[in-house]
Amino acid sequence: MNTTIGMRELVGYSLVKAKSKALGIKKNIQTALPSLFGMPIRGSLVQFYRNDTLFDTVLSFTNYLSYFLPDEEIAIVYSVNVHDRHGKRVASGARRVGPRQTLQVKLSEFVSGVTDEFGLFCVDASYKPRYVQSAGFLGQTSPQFMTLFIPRDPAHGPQMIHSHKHFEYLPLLKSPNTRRSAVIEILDRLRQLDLFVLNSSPSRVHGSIELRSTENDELWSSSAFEIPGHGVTKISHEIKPGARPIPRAVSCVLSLDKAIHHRKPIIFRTAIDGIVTCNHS
Amino acid sequence: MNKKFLVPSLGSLGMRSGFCVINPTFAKLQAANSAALEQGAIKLRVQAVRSGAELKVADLLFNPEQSFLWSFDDEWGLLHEPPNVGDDLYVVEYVAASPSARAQAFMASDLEGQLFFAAPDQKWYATVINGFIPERSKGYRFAPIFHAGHYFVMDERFMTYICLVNYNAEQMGQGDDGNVMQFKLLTDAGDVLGSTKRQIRFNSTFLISVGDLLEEIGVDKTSTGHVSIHVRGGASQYAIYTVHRNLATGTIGIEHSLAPHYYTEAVMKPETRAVLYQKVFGGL
Repeated sequence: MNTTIGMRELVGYSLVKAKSKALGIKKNIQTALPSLFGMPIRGSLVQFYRNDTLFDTVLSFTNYLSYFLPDEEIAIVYSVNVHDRHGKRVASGARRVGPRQTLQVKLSEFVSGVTDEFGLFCVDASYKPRYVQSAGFLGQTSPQFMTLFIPRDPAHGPQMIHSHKHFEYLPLLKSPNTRRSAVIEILDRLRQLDLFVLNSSPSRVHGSIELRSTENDELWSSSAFEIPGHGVTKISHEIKPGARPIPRAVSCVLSLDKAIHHRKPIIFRTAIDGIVTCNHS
Repeated sequence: MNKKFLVPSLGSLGMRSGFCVINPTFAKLQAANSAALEQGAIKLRVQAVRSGAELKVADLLFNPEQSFLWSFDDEWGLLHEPPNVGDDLYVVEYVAASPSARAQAFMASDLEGQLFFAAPDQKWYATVINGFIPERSKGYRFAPIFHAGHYFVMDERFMTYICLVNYNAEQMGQGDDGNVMQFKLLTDAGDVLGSTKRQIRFNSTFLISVGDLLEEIGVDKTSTGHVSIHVRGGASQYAIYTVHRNLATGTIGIEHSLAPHYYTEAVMKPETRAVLYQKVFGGL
């Protein structure tokens, strides 16, 4: 296979590396000067929400410092920014989670103004730098939250996804990349696949998703898309007998023109008996 | 170092177990800097473990035409065995036909697998992806584990289960021994409701509902609201899952926990790790 790397791609790749290095520098500065730059906490972390006829999104937060430091009384402030599917920031809010406390709340109650049926949100955590003496040995910590999709239909079970991918603030140049997920879908037990691709960056992203048979790697479906910065696109496949034979199972290959941090589409699958389950790819 | 993929049983919830892994003999799946293994160079072994002892071993062969190998528990030689009582554990590993450097390099790489849990009639499934774990050598000193669950759903429609998979190759078939694990339950406001201890048998799946834990500490589950649970103890290899279940239909959602280094860098250096362990496991 011949690969030609253009100057833009090379610059883009270099910027990705530089951004990774910048995140490390930011962490080191925060570790050295928490009173000026805040405690070193990973962030912002990005995740998908849906607020439609099938599911509502509930967030669960905990005060993780209470179990790392059971003798300290440190509160954590969690802040959330919500974007619609087009990438527009539509809502934001913050809540305090006190020592040993947990907060489980609907996204639409945490912030007001979530009107789109799906999109992405990002989460940041902070606590006061005056605790650096007792909490400093923890080094960089990470917000601890889970995203629960609570079904509105009485037949389904709650679904849940963790988060460790970054919401990105700096624009990206081209850096084409392809990722084959280790997740397959067993199509002969499904009637629909909905794939939600998140663009964690502020740059417009072009790409495609291929679904390939696990039996012989033949292409079953290819969908091109374009996602505005911080937007989300939905790709749906109805799985019904037609001109094309349906493979027993498919794997998912995601190609993007930029190396965004979140490259794991969120999959909601509808089984032949109508049950919907979800996970990241 | 051998790596294992731990597949729990959710038999007590009426679910069937399955898994999917990549086929290393399929050329197109190889990483850019490593070639595919030749046909027959590697196979997959599934060890079914019941009540802490090996029950059956099945070898599955890769078809070089296929990109992935996926399989459910009816292919693991268990059809003529008594029904799963719920604590089954299925241990999946790649096995090289000969000690080739390429096969060893593949088996030492970061490997992922996909878990499937299907309804008995196979009409729907839930799934989650997780990593293989390294098999520790004989005499390895395991650290205790800490798990903080705060995302439970418990009302008239749903119940959440904590699933602890305890794997310790050295203890395979050595009897009923296990690890003691403490479960401390707290309200959303941070008030301690109570705590209880349970033994988690080596090489088994342990599944318990939040409702059962509340009952065990004498708290009425209908009046507590949300709870969080701190789980401490162990000293073994653990895979931890959270299972949400619709009580009327039996449908589930499942997610795995993340390794501690996602949450604090303190676990990565011996000096800070010692401080962290003293604070987290003190008084246990």
